[in-house]
Amino acid sequence: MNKNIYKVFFFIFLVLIFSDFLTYTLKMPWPLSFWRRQWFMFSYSNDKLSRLLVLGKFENGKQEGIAMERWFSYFVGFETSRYNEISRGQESLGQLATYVCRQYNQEAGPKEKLKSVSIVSAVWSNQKSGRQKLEEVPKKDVRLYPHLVKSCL
Amino acid sequence: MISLLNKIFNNPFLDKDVPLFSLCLFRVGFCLLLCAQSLTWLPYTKELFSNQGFHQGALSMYALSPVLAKILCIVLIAAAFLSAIGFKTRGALLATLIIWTYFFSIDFINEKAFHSIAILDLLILVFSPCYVRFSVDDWLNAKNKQRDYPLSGSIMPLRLLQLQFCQVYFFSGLFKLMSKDWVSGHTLSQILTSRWATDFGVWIASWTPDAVFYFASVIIILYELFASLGLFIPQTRNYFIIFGIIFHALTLSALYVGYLGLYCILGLIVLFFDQKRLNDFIARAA
Repeated sequence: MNKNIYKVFFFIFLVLIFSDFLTYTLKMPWPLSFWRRQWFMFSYSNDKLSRLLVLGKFENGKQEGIAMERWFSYFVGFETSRYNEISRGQESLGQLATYVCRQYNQEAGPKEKLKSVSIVSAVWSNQKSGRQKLEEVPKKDVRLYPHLVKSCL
Repeated sequence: MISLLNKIFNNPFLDKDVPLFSLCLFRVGFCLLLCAQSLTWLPYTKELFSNQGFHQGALSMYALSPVLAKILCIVLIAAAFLSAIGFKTRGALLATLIIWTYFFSIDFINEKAFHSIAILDLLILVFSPCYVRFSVDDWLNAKNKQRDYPLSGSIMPLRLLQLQFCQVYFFSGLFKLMSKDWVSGHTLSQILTSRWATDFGVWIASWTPDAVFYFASVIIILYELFASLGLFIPQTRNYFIIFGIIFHALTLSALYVGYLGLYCILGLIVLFFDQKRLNDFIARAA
């Protein structure tokens, strides 16, 4: 293989690494950074656990939590699945709400369609002595943060 | 600029021929890791890569139907396996690279560092002569007396892989160094009870005193910052390799890091271990 190809690679690597360095040291958003996750490898943590709760309002007036496990079964970590790993920004949560509406209503019977969904974050403290699942935490120790309500119609 | 680059490229550090054992061995181990990672995806292709799943990625609108996503994942597993055993190596590596990149672009949710590292490593391997040893291709060529290629080559692909490896360490270390909570050991203790911790990690966190977390954090930061240098100095290389293997083995048992830990162990052993001793060892084993 022509050595020039490696030289091109090497040059690109240097540019990428230099851009990474600038991104970090000067805190500037740099579009060239390729290794998007490397700095985030356990670079922060807090003493809280959080899970998104998706509550559905049905056409028949009923209200209940939507079991997200039916669409998200890939293992990610303790008390979390892929849907729980998204940003808590409105756009990202809006996409999740749209997805839930679409998938649920695709599979539901004619009178069991979702009318709207609301997304809430449940946050509870993490104990050094051991982690607790959301279901095991006393209700008074769980804080709820409503994010959005989205119509499915 | 051009003359500076010429100076860099003509330096013996980058411009010399070496036996290709390490590169070929890295191909085998790395592609087996890709194969194993893809196998874990196979039961979940509908969720992870199909148009019935929830995605946030650059190409998420181009997700395929569940059946096609499953087939593509099977092709990825086969391509990664063929790359590992070295059968039609370059084509298999190229297929692995294309499908891996496509899957990567469909969904960034739960993205791991290993996912983007793999793309660059595959790109380097595609353009390298990593098939000349430990491959079915080489075995067939030797059998048919068509082994008309040298068993040594430019050190450049190996250096590129090393560079990619080291910069991950360096920037992770730099990021941690700038974080007050990391230096104090606070972040490390919290990570070991977070959603990323295994039960073993939580157990460790439950009895470890804060002072130990502080020292462990400082050591991790120093290791990550200086590994990029220490791994290239013959006198310190082995210490950095041994410490790195222990560090990654502990990380693997205490945190859900996926295949990154195994990748780092593989890289430390195959990419950095003294080339001459590695070559002698392989030659003796062969």
